[in-house]
Amino acid sequence: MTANSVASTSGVQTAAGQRKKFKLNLGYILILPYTVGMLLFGVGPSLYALVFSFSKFEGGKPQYLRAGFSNFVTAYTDYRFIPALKNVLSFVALTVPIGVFGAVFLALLMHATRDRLNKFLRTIYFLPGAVTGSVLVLIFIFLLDPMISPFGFLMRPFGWEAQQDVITRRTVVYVFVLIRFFSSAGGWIAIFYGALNGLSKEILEAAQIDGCNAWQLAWYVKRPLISSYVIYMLITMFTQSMQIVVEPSLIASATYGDSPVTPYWSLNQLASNLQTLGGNFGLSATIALLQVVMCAVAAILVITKTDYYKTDVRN
Amino acid sequence: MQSVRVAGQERSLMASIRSWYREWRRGSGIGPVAYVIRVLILVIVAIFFGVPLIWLFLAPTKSNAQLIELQPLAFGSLEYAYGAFQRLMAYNNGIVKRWFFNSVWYVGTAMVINLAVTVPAGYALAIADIKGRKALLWATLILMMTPVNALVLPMFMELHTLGLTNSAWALILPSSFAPFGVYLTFVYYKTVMPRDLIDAAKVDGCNEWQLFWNIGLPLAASLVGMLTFSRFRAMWNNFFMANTLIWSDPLRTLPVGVGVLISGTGAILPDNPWSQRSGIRRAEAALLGVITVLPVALVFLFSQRLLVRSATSGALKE
Repeated sequence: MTANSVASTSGVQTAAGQRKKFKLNLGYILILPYTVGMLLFGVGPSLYALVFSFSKFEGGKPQYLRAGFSNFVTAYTDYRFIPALKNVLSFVALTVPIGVFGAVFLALLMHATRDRLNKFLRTIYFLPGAVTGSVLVLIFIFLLDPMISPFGFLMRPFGWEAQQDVITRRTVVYVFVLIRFFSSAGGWIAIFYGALNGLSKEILEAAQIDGCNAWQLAWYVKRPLISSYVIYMLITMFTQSMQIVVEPSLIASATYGDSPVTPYWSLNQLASNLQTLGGNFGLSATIALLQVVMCAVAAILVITKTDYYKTDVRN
Repeated sequence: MQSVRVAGQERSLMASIRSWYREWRRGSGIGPVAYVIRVLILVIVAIFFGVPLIWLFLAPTKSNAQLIELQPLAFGSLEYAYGAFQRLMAYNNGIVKRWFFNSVWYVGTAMVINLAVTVPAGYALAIADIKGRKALLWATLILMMTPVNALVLPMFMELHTLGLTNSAWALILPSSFAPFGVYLTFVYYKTVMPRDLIDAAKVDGCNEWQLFWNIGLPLAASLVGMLTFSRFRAMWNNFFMANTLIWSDPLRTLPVGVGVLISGTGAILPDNPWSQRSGIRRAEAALLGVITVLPVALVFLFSQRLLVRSATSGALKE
């Protein structure tokens, strides 16, 4: 490479008065396909949904921007809204810390030493995430029946003898946390393990030479170096937990008699219900908007406090 | 003091133990006691994850009655499993095979496009000098937070206008441009391409294209592994959008077909008359679960090879 081409790469004019050569910025070319797709299949529909939240729906047909704030008032004063919000927040409060801590701990534990066990374990941890929703419910219906479950010996000491004793209104949120951890932790463990594999070998060796034991290496060196991934998991898990819908819907359809899960247990279930039964997409859009705002507030706090968007190269 | 012979030399027992301990530490990085505790914890967790899967793989060998009467991890019979497989393949003129093929085709195509779009985009967001970088990151994050049920009607109307609803492209296109992979890629490049590496490359004369092609792309091997298994799993198990945007039975994906089949036949509920009439019971539902899991497991095993150790190892010499 010549000095001139290096100069043109950095965008400096080589002599006063010379016309600057038009230089295509590679970054814009690389980002273009995603930007177009994001606008078409992400931003566009999202803005459309926002318009719906201010629209009336009569006979299933939208009257755009005619509703003002009435959809918001109707949705947020609905008698099912507060219980659904409480259920979701209690689920989030449990599943996010357990999921994040559990996945980070297990990934660091696996990475502490290299052996053939790691590959086998990663596969075992990951496979439950591959099970589709309705089959997952089939598995847990059996697993949570104390008389036929392989884990029945853990449940019977509590006096639980039937599935209805295990899945109650009081315990159902813990059941969902268990199902969520079972189905999602493995994927995150695999991502963290991949991130740990990508760490600089020189840094890890230098820490060991300085006297770090395995625990100190994991906690003070490896954990901070993968913190970007941990924050990514925190934001993603928070978002996905706020949108819980599959577990309560399927448990409701698969439990007998007085189900501990109502059709409006979570915010997404309530939104789906308002949409399909009431034909009012505007109402369900207002609930979606609330979820986005809550997740955005949490993400803004995390991102601004940790300077998450700053890279070594860009601010 | 007791002595042992090691490599032709007399040594005290304690010296031999100390020597073995040092060798162990050098090889594994942690002491033997810590190693045992580590293995115990990981194996206990593996039992929590693995036993339900073992149950799933054994369930097709047992009838509804045997699932209750036999021990949870007991094996039923191969004949029953084969019969379950035949009943499943016969259901609705072999529609399950069609669903499987559809899933492979939709997800395979979406994965290829997704990787081609996501890796360059994430690289650009982490490394390149572009205006609006933070705005794009925020937009990506907001999209990740937007509930699917909020997007389903607008997406349906948009795809309907383009004439793409009830077709493969109704799923392929939105999946190809999903924001999760881009965010992960941004995080990855933020971590693996420090300033020193980029400066060293520029001092060596790399322009932006060469930086991406000769350094950024080769470093993407681990990333491709991560994206492949995480995005493949998400796309393969996509239910809500797949159920809404495609309604013809022959065009459905396998997870949606499983959901429709199980809820339509009541296979999960015991002694359900519809289930008995259709021949689809819990064993067949479990077998469907196994068929759904296998491709994701294969993709995961393949992508593990790409999660190589320290992609930048040796790239920087301080």
